[in-house]
Formats: sequence, structure tokens, C-alpha cells
Amino acid sequence: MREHFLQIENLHVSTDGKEILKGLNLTVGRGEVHVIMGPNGAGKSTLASVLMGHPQYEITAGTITFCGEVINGLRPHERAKLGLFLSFQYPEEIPGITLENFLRTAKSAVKGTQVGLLEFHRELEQKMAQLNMDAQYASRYLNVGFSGGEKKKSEILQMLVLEPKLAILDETDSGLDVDAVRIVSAGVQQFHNEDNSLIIITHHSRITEHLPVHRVHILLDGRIVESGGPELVDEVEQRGFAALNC
Amino acid sequence: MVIKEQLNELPVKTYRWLKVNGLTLPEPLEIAYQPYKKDYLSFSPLPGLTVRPMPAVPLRDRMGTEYVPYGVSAELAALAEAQPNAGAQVHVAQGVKCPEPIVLSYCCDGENPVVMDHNVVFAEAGSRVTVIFQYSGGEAGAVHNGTLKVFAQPEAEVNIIKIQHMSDAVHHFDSTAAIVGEQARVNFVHVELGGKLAAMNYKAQLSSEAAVAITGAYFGGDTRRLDLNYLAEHYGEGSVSDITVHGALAGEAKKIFRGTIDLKRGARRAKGSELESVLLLDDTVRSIAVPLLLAGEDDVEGAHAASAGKIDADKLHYLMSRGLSEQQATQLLVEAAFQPALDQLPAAWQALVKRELEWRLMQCRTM
Amino acid sequence: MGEAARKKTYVEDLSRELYDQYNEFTYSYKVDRGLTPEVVREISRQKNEPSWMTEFRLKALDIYYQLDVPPWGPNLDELDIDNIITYVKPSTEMRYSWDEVPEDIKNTFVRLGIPQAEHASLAGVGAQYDSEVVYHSIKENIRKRGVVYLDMETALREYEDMVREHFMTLVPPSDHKFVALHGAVWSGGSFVYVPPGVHVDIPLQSYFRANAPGAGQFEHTLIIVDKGAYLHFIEGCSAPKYSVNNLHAGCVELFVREGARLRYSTIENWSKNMFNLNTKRCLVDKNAVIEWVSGSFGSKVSMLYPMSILRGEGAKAEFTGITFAGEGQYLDTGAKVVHAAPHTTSTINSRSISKSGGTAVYRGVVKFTERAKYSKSTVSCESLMLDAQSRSDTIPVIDIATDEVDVGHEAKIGRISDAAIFYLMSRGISEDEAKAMIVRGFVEPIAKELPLEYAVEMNNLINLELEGTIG
Repeated sequence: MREHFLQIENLHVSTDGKEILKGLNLTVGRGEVHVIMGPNGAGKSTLASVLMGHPQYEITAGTITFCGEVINGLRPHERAKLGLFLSFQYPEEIPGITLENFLRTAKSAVKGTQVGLLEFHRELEQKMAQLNMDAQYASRYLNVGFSGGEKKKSEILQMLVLEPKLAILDETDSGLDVDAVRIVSAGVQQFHNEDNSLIIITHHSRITEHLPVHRVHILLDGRIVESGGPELVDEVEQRGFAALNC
Repeated sequence: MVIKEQLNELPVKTYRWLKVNGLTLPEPLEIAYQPYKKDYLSFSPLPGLTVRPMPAVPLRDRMGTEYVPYGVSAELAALAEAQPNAGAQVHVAQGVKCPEPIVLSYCCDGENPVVMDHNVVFAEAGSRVTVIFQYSGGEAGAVHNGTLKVFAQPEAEVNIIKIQHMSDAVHHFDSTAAIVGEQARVNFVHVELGGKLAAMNYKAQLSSEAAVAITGAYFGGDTRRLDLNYLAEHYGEGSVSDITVHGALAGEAKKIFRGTIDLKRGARRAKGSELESVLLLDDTVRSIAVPLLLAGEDDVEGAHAASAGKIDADKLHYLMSRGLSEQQATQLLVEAAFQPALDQLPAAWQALVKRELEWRLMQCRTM
Repeated sequence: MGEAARKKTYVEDLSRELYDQYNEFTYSYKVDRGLTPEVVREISRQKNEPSWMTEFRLKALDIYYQLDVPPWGPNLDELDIDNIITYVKPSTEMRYSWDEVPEDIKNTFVRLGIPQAEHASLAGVGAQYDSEVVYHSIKENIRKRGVVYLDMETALREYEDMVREHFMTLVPPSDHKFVALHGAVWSGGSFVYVPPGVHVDIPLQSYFRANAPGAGQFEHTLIIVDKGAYLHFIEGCSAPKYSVNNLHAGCVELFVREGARLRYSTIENWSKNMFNLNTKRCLVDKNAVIEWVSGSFGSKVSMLYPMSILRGEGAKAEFTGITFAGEGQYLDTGAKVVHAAPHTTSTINSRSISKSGGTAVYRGVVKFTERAKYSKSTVSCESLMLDAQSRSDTIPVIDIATDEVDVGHEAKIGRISDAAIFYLMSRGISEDEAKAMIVRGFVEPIAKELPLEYAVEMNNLINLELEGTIG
């Protein structure tokens, strides 16, 4: 059995007095790619936010263990340093800070050592080219005025630069045109290897087409109600969530 | 009584040389009590709805124990409250929703040169009511000095519509105070089309989750003076205010817009926004805007935007290329400025306002 | 007394001598003697001024006593109006030494990387930092091109006509009480004249002149940029200026002639006991440009509204400013623009941050006269509040007296969004650092207008300021 990277046991999460996750269980091993699908409002983005430690959500029961350590009480930046990464569904715009300066600071923070200016510049240039991103985005303010698609690329670029152990992609393929999906998928493929893992939250199969999907989970009403192999993705696409007997 | 005090003072003063801290009447104004002898009130009876013409036995005129100062000036508000010659007291019982508006319609003439109406609208919890005020007519020397106090209990909804299309010889003073309870809502729509001097003051105090929406539309032509003062005081958490005022100025008209959003400490998650725009139709107009934004609490969102300019030349050209004369095209575009207010009026009133606007515009344009 | 009668050639010596002279005076006068015409005459005599200047000072004093303290804005009660003389003529007890300079001021010098040699001078004590040696070559260079850069008092002697033609014509003593005071007791300051067509490529700094101890409170800056010329003038520095005398009523008058361009940058970081009541005004002629860049960090109370008068066709004014109000501070700042000619443009971009109970106020006006046809103005004010103890008020006025204008004004107040903090933290950045990043990002549009070392110093200043509350 592969080493357990992420283990979520009986997770109950509430926000504003309302319970959203109602006893969620999930195990992700090192090197695995998991896909989570579900109708809107099921709790997919909540799960993503909770994994990253968003203060708005309260864990009322259950544990999240990452690489053997219970991370329930850890703050977002501490989780980032442990190797967690979230590609946001709606990335924030931060005026006044350039993409390049921000990423260099983040990389230094995550690595724990100061990253050199020139060396980083080269790395960034190369990774941007890989994603077919215009180099001038590096000197634009972080996500400010970026189109939806460019924001998603910016998220994947950050993932490639920060090299996390476990990356959660929250609907990264929504808002992207066909070419962009292909490029982003390629980038994600490049990133994935046997030492890191991916949790992909999506409605479609496009982004997972060329990835070795290990397990697919259906999240419904705050719980994972069904898990299966990659073929589950096509089944859902064809028959919808209602068709599955959950 | 002679009115001497400064009118419509700014809650926070600024450089004196700008002369915007308040409005001083060019000469002291004498307002003498005279009865208003016409009928003005109409409404459909409904269980739970009590409407009494003023002066009536005062009905719980206060909310809590504190009197909230309000008005174009303390003098004017006190005068109308003490000696009203018209007005109504409206009380809506808990949960009662009135489908028909209550209408108070005033028309000044030679016999009735003074309208001094004091009005109170008390909407109990969960109720809903609409009150429409219309002020028209007036020969030289006519005065309208009106006050309105709205008490909206929790979850009540009160819609106030004021349509003023008096003659250009009249002094018009209109003071409103709204105490908005928890999760209650007060919508205030007003249209100012007349008056030698039209001074309007609207003040709202918002409790938690309360909402206030103010929509104003005005047209000033000839040598009219307009002084519009709005104040939204956010005391409660999650309270929301929205002030939208659009207008147009022609001839030698002069207008001053004072809009204040005051986010008090403790009003977490409160949101206040102000939007003011004015169309300048002649180079002899004077437009002054003082959009104040005051915050003593960090967890808030406050925003205001003010703009002014001529009619968009491209838009004018587009309309004229479709066969409209410049007069007609201008009319259309000025009406467009009135749209946010018009949208909230019942159809018959919309038609009235459009008609009034049209003939006033025609009066002003010398083509 | 023989010492005092000796004529000196350097202003700094003259000032020090004046200082000494005053000490001798207080010895013979009663302690509670007010600001009288005699005192003003004495100031003028000590400076060897022409009689018209003496008369000017006396007239200003007269006006001072007739005007009232403005009834709007911050509370000035702590200013000892009845003993203004104590601000003008510090008594012997106020003679201070390095030991008496507050620790946090000394620490700031170190943190900001100010050279050791400058510390004492900045603190307004002891030996003066001799700027002559360091900046001599820069001054030689500009002198060769006809640029005049002198202290105000020397300029009054050597360029009397030019000074007389301009001095306090843009900001007359009748403007407000503290300008009248300034007119009566002004002392020191910079005079700059740039001849037509000359492009001064390195910024001139007010710091180039030596600072005399106790000076700087009533300094007068007069800059004339002649046709087609260019100058960037930097006033102040980011190091806190400490002074026991805590009133600063300075005056800045800028004249930008046809086709010329002036960039006036200021970082004001007065110590937290100061009342900073400065008046700055610029007259902009045809097709000329004034660019104001302003960073207000210190002082207990500031009232600062640089004003641009666009009197020539095509004139332009740009204002970029940041105000940071921390604990115990009430900073009332903004910008004023008067469009008095056709085709004029103004842009105001003001940002403020308030924290720990500080109050930041944006107060301004954009006024269009009937002659300002085809003019345009854009104003953008953004305020960031870092906690619920602070205050942020925006008090703008837009006054238009013609129709062919294009005016846009917007203002926003809010706090750092939780979503933005979470986003940055999810990338490994700590909460404190995330907030600091967002605040730095917030001030970035202003930072990028400053010369690099000031931008760096400003960021350091911000970090220092933020350290207080966060965490």
C-alpha cells in the first residue's frame, strides 16, 4: 500500500452555524491523482478551503492528517510550508504587488531560504513559457485585470513554482477555452510524478484526460457517497449525479 | 416666524472660502401660519391601517427615549411639528401589508399659499406601506415647509415617494427622518422639479441589518436653487445604505448635493454607497457636490462616486441620426437620468413626472 | 554684545548667532512677553532685511491677530496660541542635548540606515552636519547652468527684486492665521530659480542646505521654474525630524511658467509631538505641469492641502499622496485644485492608512471657474483602515461653474480583505507578512513616484509603523 499522504477521517465542517461537510472520509496516497465531482453546493469548494485552513470554516469533528501530522490546527501558511497547495476557483486580485515579486517571496517562505533574484527570474521565465503565458505578466500586479483563463494559468504557474507535495485544483478547468485547457493539463501532467499527489475538483473530464487517475469520488450533500475508478467520470458525465444510486 | 438659521448644514465642515458648509437664505424668510383648506388625503381603508389627518392626537412620536434632531434646519422642523396645517399620521399594525399607496396631494394657490405638513409613518414589525406625497402649484410668496418622520419597526418595509413640481416662485423645504429598525427597509424616492429654492434634508438611522435606499432625481432651470442633503447613519451591524441621485441643470440654476455616509464604530459589515451624477446643459449653471464618507469602523465597505459633464456628444448624435431634433434628443437623455427614480413610481405618476419634466425643459431651452 | 554685532557671511552662523542673541534677550525681557511688533522688528533687524520686508512682517502680524483659528478640522487646542512667542523664540531651558532626544527617535535613525554623522543634525541638536562638503559638486554643476539655489535669506539680499515680486503673493498672509504668523516670523527656507529651457537632471533636495538647530519651523520655500524648464525638488526626508518646539508653520510657493514642469516631492515625517500646519501652493501657467508627490507619516496633527491654481490654458496638475496615521495622530491632508483656464487637467490620487486609533482625513476641492471650459479632473481616494479603533474620513468638494467639463470622483473606504490574506497565506506567507504585503501594495502607486532611496525608506517606514499593532 502506498504511503498515505492525506487522510481525512469523519470530517464535519460548519460555517455561519450551518453544517456543510457531514462526516467526510478520504484517503490519498503518495503519487496518486484523485478526482472529486459533485453537484453545486455539495461542499467541494468548502473541502478545498478547509484543507487549506480558511478561518471562516470550523471543524466540528474529525481529523485531517497530512504526511502523518494532524493539521487541523495549522494556519494556511504553515500548511503551505508543509507542502499543500490550492489552486483557487476565484483567485484574488492583489494590486501593488507584481506576480514575480510575490512568487519569489512565496517560494522563499515555503522553502525556508531566500531565493536568488536572477536564478528565480530564469525559473519563472521558463515555467511561464511552458504554460504559454506572455512574459509580461510577471511584471503585472498579481491577478489584477487578468481574464478568468489567465487567472487560472497564474494559479498553475504558482503551483509549478512552489512545487507542493499535494496540490488541490478547485475547478481549474472552468473558464478556460479548449487550447488553454490543453496547455494547463500539460502543465499539470508535467508537475505530477510519483512523489506528489493531486486532488482535482471538477465538473468535466477534460483536465483529467491525460492524467493517471487513481480514484474518482462523488461528493454529495457534504459526504463522499461513491468512489470508483476513472470510468466513474464518464458515467457521471453521461448520466448525471441523480442517476447514481447514492 | 422669521427663518434665520443656516440651512442644511454639513455634518462635518470644511474650508470656509468654499461656502458649502450650509445654506444661508439671501434674505430672512417670514413664514406665517395659514390654514390649508383643501382636501389632500386619499387612501383605501384596510384593517390594521390607521390614517389620521394632522393635527391629530400624537401617537407614539418617538422611538426609544431619545429625540433625533433632523431637518433642513432645527427651526423649520420645529415650526412644522408645532403648527402643522396639513399632513397625516399613518399607523400600520404588525404584519399588515398595504397593497395600495396612501396619497397626500397638495396644490398651493392664492387662497392656500402655505403648506406646512407634519407627517408620521409608524410601521409595526413586518408590515409594509407606501406613502406618496405630491406638492404642486404656488404663486409668488408661497411656501411649503414639510416634515416627515418614519419609524420602521423590525422587518417592516416603508416606501416613501415625494414628487415636487411646484412653481418657480415657491420656497420648498422638505425634512425627513427615518429610524430604521432591525432588518427593516425604507425606500425613499424623490423628484424635485420646482421651487425658487428647494431645500431637502433626509436623514436615516440604521439599526443592524437595516437597509435604506434613496433615489433622487432633479431638474434645475432658470435661476432655481437646489440644496439636497442626505445623511445615512449606520449604527447597526450589517446595515446597508444606497444613495443614488441624478439630475440635470440648465440656465443659471445652481445646485448643491451633500451626501454623507457615516459608518459608526461597531457597525461591522455595514455597507454604504453613494452615486451622484449631473448633466450640465448650459455654461451658466453651477453644480456643487460634497460627497462625504466617514468611517469609525474598519470592517465596512464605503464607496462614493460623483461625476458631472455635458450630454455625451456621441449619444446625442446617435439619437439625432434617428430623426430626433436636438431638443427631443436632450429631453430623452435627461429623462434617462431620471429613470432610476421613475422606475420606482407607479405608472400614472411616471407619466406625470415625464410631462412636467418635458414642459420645464422646453421652457428652459431657447433654440 | 560685541560678538553679536559682528557681521557673519554664512546663514547658519547667523542663525546660531540669532539664537544666542535671543537667549540674551530673554534674559532681559519678562518671560510672558507675547509676540509683539518689537519682537518682529528685532527678527528683521537681526537678519539685516530691507525695510519693505520689515513692513511686510509687521502687516502680517497685524493680520495674525485679526484672524481666528479655523473652526473646522483637527482640534488645535493643545497649541499654546497665547504663547506663540515660545515657538518663535525658544527659551534657554529649551536648549536640548543629544541625551534628551527620545530613544525611539534615535532608534529610527538606525533602523532607517541614516549615516551616524547626520543623526545629531536631524535631531536638531548639537553640531551641524556640514552639507557643503558632500553636496558641493552637485551645487557647482547647477550653478554653472544658471540655476540659483540659495537659502531664502541670502536670496532676499542677492535677488531682492525677484523675491519681492513673488514673496507671499501666491499665499498672502490674509489666507489664514498660521500663514499670517508665518509672514511675521518666517525664517530660513530655500529659494530656487531655474532659467528658461534648463533641464535640471538631478533632483535638488532641501536637505542640501545645512539645517540650523531650532530652524525649520517657519521656513519659506520659493521656487520659480522659468519657461520650458524642468526641476525636481525634494523636500524633507524620511528620518523623523525632532524638535522641542512643536509647531511647524511653513510655506511653499511654486511658480511654474509657460511650458515648464516642476515635480515637488515631500516625505514628511515630523516627530509625533508636532503640529504641522503647512501651506503649499503652486501657480501653473500655460501648458505647464506641476506634479506633487507627498508622503505624510509623522506629526501629531497635520493640516496639509497642497493647492494648484491652473491659470494658463492647457495647464496640468497631478497629485499623488499617501498618509499614514498611527496612534495619537490626526492627519488631515488632501489636495486643492482650481481650474481657471480652458483645457486644463487635474488628477488626484490619494491613499491613506489609519491604525491604532489614528485618524486620517482626506480633505480637498476641485473647483472649475467659468473660464475652465474643456477641462477635466479625475479624483481617486482610497482609505485602508487596519483596525476598529481608527478613523478615516473623506471630505471632498466638487464645484463646477461651466458645462464643458468632464469630472469624475470616487472614494473607497475599507479594510484588508480576509480573502486576500487567506490567499497570500496559502502560499506560505505568514499573516503579518501578508498584511504588510497588502499595505505595501496599497501604497505602491505613490512609492513608485518617489526616487528610489525614498521609496526604500518609505517601505521601511511602513514596516516600522506596522510593527506596532500587527500580532
